[in-house]
Amino acid sequence: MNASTAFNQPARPVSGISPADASKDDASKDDVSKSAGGHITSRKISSEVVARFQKSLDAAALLTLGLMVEFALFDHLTLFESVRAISLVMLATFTFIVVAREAGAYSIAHLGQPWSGVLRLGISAAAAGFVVMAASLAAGFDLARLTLWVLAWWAFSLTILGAARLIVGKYIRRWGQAGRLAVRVAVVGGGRELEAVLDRLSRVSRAEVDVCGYFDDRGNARDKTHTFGVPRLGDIDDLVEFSRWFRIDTVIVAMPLVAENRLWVILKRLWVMPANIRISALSTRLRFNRRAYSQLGDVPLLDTFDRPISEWDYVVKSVVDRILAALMIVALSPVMLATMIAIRWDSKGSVLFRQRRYGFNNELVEVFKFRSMYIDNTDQNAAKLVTRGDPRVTRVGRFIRKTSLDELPQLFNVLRGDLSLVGPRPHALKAKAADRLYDEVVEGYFARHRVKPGVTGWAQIKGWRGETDTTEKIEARVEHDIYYIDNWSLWLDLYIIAATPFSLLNTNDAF
Amino acid sequence: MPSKNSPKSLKILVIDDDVVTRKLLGAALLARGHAVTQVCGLTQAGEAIAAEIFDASIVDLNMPDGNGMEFVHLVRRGLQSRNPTMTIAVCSAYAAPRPSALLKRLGADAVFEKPVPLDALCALIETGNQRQAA
Repeated sequence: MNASTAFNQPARPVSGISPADASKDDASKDDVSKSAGGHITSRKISSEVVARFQKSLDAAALLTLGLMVEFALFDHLTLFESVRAISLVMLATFTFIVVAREAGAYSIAHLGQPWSGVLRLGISAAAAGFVVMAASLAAGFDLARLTLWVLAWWAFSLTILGAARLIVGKYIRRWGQAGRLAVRVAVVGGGRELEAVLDRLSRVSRAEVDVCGYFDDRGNARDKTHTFGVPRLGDIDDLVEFSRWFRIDTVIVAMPLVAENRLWVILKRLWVMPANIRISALSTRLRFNRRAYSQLGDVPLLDTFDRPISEWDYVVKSVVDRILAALMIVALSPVMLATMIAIRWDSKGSVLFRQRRYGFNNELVEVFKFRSMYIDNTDQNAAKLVTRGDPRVTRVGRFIRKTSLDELPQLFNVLRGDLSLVGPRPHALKAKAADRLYDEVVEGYFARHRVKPGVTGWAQIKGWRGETDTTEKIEARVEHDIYYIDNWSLWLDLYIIAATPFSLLNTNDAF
Repeated sequence: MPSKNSPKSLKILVIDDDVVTRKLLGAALLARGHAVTQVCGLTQAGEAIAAEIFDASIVDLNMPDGNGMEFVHLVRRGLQSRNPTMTIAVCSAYAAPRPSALLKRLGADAVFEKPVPLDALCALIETGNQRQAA
């Protein structure tokens, strides 16, 4: 219909605090079918990712240009000469990027102001040139030849990198003005600490820090409606709901550090959110080592919880996910086709089964599976878990469940961005263990929704597949999920993917 | 052409990803003599309020590229909002109490459940809100 719907972002998080909201979501199927989708919002752009992307592009351009100049200007007769030339180009590129980074050329402010950015690139180019000259004279290069290379490299790289900056700068300024690069902040706390934080943040450009609202943990109803232009939005329950709707980046807790009990209550509620949780150290008398703080504007913050798999990590994981999923779909397409034919032949009804499940940020995603039950019996909410010898399961269904072939269509969910290849398994909304909803059984259950759910996961390769009928089983799974989130790396993902086929060989747990 | 019961023609922005709701609201408001701009998501809405001055807006709570809460914030506190005091009505298939309260505190003037009660909506838009009076 239009460009924006292509992003297909789910816009409705399910409240983690009121079951009434969750059951309502079950009723409005329409809403969900259109809201299931990817997770990159079309509005917010991470300045860290932009800067990193620009840096990578610059490095690639410098390296390519350096090599082109070197090999166009000079003949390389021996292997030694080629290796020496390549090392020289790499040294030049490395020096350039390091100096540029230290000079602030990749801060979002300088990316937005092309000329000050170009100036910094010039300084970096000069520094890189001299380092290379010094190093290679020491290594016995010919001075005239070297000067020629440096001059040519300067000319090409400054022209191309500079031109790129002018273009990028235009977009950065536009995004900045629209507030798309800003860090979205919510503040919670009370008293003078809260006011001090709001005061300081009000002096920071809103293109950088967007303070969306503040929350009074003691729910003082007589309080004013705005402080330093920021609206008061409610209490701690409201904050949990609000940060899900707004996808708040950072929650700042502003209260005296001596209010230990209040802090504890708040952090206990907040740590399950996919946001950075920071404690303001503005009014504390205690002055820790400078390195103990991070800064937002000029507010010193103690980093308490970090949003897992965010910024650049998120980009890397998303790209790898989609590439691997596409390859797997191609490789497994004969199996999938055969399965589809078998399902069609075995019982009437559609091949695919869609079920709404919890995704990132408690938002609902529609997960695809091959249908394994008779159509009258498919269980939309999975209120009743499948047990051994369940009469609802078809003949083909029994086989594909046993072999986990029924999960293969989820590779398409990965392509769409609803799921990741690796992550906590997406659970159905009404799934129960020992007759209680999962989030009632396990404290901190929603913490597993701080990342995208996955097709396979740490719990699955560690032997926790299949039924989750008892409290112990779901507890163990959530424990594994949290371990995965806390210890994520690309290598852990690849390890889990590689280990998954072996864990499938033990098929006693799937019916 | 303005009809008799609308004293003043207003510029109104209608934001909904559902084409039927959008057209329906648009037609109803047009019939009352208002100038209506329709957009189908938050991204376009953000561009619209940066480009033009609207007197009022009607926004859906759940859209694929954002939600009504973000729109209210964009209007009231956004860097590019040309009219931070415009009247804002939020529509939702289901107005849960907590999101509704949050919307009001963010600066929404009313939250309506769908199907939108047209009389109440027009009354709100045509009388304006207290922000504009102040």
